[in-house]
Amino acid sequence: MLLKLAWRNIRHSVRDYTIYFLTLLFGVAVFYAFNSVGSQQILFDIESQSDADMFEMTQQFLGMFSVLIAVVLGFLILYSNGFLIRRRKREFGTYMLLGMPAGQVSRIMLAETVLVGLLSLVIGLVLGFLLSQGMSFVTAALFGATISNYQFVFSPDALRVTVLCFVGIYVVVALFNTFTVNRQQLIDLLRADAKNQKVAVRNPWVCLVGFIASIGILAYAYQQLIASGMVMLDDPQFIRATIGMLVGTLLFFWSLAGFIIAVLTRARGVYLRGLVPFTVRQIASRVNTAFLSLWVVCVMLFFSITAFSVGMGLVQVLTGNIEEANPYSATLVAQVYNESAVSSVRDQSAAVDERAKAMQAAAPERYAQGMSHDWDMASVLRENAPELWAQTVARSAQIDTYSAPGITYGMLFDRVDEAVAARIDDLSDHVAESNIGVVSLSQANAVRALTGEPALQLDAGECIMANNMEMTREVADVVAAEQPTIELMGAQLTYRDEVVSVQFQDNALASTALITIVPDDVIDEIVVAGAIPLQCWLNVMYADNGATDIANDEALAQIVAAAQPLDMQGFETGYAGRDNPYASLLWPVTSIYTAHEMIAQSGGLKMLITYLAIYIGFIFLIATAAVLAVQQLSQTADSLPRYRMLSRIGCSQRMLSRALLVQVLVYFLLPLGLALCHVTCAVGVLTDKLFTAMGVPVDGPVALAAALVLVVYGGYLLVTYLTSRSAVNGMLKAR
Amino acid sequence: MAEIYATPVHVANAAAPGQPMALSVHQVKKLYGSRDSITQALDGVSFDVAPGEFVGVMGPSGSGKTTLLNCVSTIDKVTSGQIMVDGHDITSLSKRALAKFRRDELGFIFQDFNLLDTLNGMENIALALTIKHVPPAEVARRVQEIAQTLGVAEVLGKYPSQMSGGQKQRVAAARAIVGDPKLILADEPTGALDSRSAAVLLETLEMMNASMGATIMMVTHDSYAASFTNRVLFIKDGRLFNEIRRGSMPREEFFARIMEVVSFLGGEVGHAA
Repeated sequence: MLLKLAWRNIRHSVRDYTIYFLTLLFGVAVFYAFNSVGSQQILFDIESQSDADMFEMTQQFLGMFSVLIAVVLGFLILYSNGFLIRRRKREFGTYMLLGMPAGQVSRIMLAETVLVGLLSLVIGLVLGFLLSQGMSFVTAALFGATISNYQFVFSPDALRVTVLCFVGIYVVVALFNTFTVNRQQLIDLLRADAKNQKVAVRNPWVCLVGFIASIGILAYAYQQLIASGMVMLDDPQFIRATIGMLVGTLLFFWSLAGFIIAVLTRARGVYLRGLVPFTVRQIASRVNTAFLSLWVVCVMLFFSITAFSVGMGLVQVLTGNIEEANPYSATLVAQVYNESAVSSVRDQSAAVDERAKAMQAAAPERYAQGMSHDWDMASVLRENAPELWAQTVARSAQIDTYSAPGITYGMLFDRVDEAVAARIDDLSDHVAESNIGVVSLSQANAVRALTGEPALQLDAGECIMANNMEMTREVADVVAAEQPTIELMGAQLTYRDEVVSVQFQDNALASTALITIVPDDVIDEIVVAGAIPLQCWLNVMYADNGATDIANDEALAQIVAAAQPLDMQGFETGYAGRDNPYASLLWPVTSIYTAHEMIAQSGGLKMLITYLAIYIGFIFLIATAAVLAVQQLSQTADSLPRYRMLSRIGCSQRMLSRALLVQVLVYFLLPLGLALCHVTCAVGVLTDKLFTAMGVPVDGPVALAAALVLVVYGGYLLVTYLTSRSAVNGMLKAR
Repeated sequence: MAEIYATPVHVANAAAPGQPMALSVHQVKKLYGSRDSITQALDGVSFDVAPGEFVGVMGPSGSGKTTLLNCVSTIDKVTSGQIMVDGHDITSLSKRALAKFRRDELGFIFQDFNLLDTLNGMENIALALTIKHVPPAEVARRVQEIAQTLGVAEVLGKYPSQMSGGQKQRVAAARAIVGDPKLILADEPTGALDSRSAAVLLETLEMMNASMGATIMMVTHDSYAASFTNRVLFIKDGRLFNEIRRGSMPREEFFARIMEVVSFLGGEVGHAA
């Protein structure tokens, strides 16, 4: 009997429930789908540990954010549920008037909550299950893999988490509902309809001042944001910008309605037309009473759109041309010697042999080993595992970067252009004081030969700038254009008027930054003068031996281990050494980058960021849109008598529908509009500072974000309008 | 007794020849319900209202007077019969034409004021004009004018929640007449007012009728209110039962005549809710 009553209630108020139910559905579906990412790996064969690790990391991150998402959804559900309850107070009052005890009314409510919850959970899970199947194809695409042996995958873990989470939320909702019904006085329940909403009217002059102040504060916040460049999040300018944005936005919504009314009512020519006064007042009263939620919605929209487009942009920055950045099968890196990890590429020594002497003192064994092999990495490795080396490695080429004593980047650019010189410190700290990096022509050509690039020729007295890193591209171009001359080991070298784009090692990015290729004799002079290389990279190409990349990576690790056994504090694991100059105390190999590993990492990173961006963006969007929808629908329901009156004095349905549409549009687009202003500012700053510097176009991510907003937010807007319109038309039809 | 009070209604009225009646109700029937349970709310009602007349409609609750008003105001549809306003049959109009008709030809005053609580007095009155697409400058001028005439100029800037009941109802009256309608329909306009405010409102309506030439049809159960009209129609059980003309009678005498009929009807009229 209770269940029957509850079911009938739901069917009767199906219009009120539509948005609520849809939101629950989306919430459950997306929650399940993203929590099931970890189970997708069975879909395609993952052989390497690095792929599996990336999956695990993605799963962990998504799990972490799921907590945040669950909190957001929980609030959203409680909030919309509260609105639904308020709508139905009179109904409860009637039950109680007829003698139903409050407990039983609560139980009806509970039955309704359970029914809706159960239904949304089941349908949502089915949707989520389908969604996760679709997502596995996306995952495969992000990894650059194809799915063989496709099969449906069901994730019990995701199911458990989703059910647990939503049941938890529904329990809170049920408690809240019971409490609400029990606490109410009968008279209040019955009078709920008659109670007039208090019309919040603010002093127009205060609003005018407030509005102008809010615009001022927002302008200040934008200016601070642009000045901060959004580089460091604890920068006081950034903090001021954030606070200014929050305060300015709040004041904006607080004062907006009063300001608009003050302006419009004085512009009678615009104001006294058709249903304009009615529509404006409806919106104004809505905005005045709900300015806090508009504020929250605007900030959340700003956050989610920015997170989404920046996330998508980052994906491109991090993984844009991963294949080009990894032209070799693998790169073995030798951090020859440095006092700290960071200074490895920023040598500032004045004398040619300064570092060599320091190394001799601090790491004499390493120095002796390196010197005895002329810093030739391949010779050491081949020596210790000749057969495996022959099996695995077809070709290899080493490139040694030396630092050019006495010639700093600062000096080089001073010779070129003061404007450029001023810019280089933006690139990274202490670049100006660092010696420029030089490599020999023959080594550069050997590396180029590995990938079939033609050899470079240098005329006497010539050198050439090598660069393929986006951040330094402009500077490199200026050097090529200005063709400065440097003096190195007594030789006069003039830069050629071109920049060679070459990747000297496997890396996450195109990473050759402002390296000067000089004639071999100059490097010979430096070596004779007692210099040791700054860094050595040994690039290898695997033999066509029928083994997979993964097997060859393993073999390479064994070769390294043979030369640097673990028990002698040798090489440990593939990637581990990159931040630690002494990961291996033995020469030569400090760390290994393999193309397969780098590409897998990049795919994983792409997946992680893409999924996080979509997950957060989508949930925040539906949360904000649902809040607006529920508020707007509730206002429409409260305003039904007004529409009836308007219809009576002769407003056609078309006029009423248009007034409704304008209300819904303004109410949805107001927070979105301001949020978009904020987004434009923030993304604009990031574009200048990050994306353009990285050579990544932001149009793609921005278009994606726009599409997401259009579909999700626009969808809610449309449903809200149609539902409100049918509510008004239904009321008119019922007379 | 019955013969004295149940006089047949004279269809012809003192309208100028050639000019159509402001309202002409002809053999209107209204049935509610389905086949099984039919309620006959109106059973062949006919009467005319001449331009410039102030007509009261009285009757016990359930007599059909509200149904009659709803049919005339096109909020409800008649089952059979004709209703002509200013010579145009309104029973056959489409939904959209009906909205236009209400907008252009009718003015409304309701018992519960029906002002929009979010709009101030000025905007509430202006609504009747703006939805007709009257130019804004003219809207402002006409609202000012009518507010002066009806004595609500000082509450134009106030919201309904800041007005007294009498002020609200006079603002509603201003809204009803500002559009120059052919016919003003008032549904128990004094129902929610105290006696002083009611008297002021009735004098306002009388003034709207006498000096502004408004044609008013007022449904009421209050004999005192009815005594402000030119003519009172009595409805009982869906039929026109009687009518009294005021003629040159003083209001007190007219009131006494109305009371007689009301008490004949069983005193129900006066107590009807």
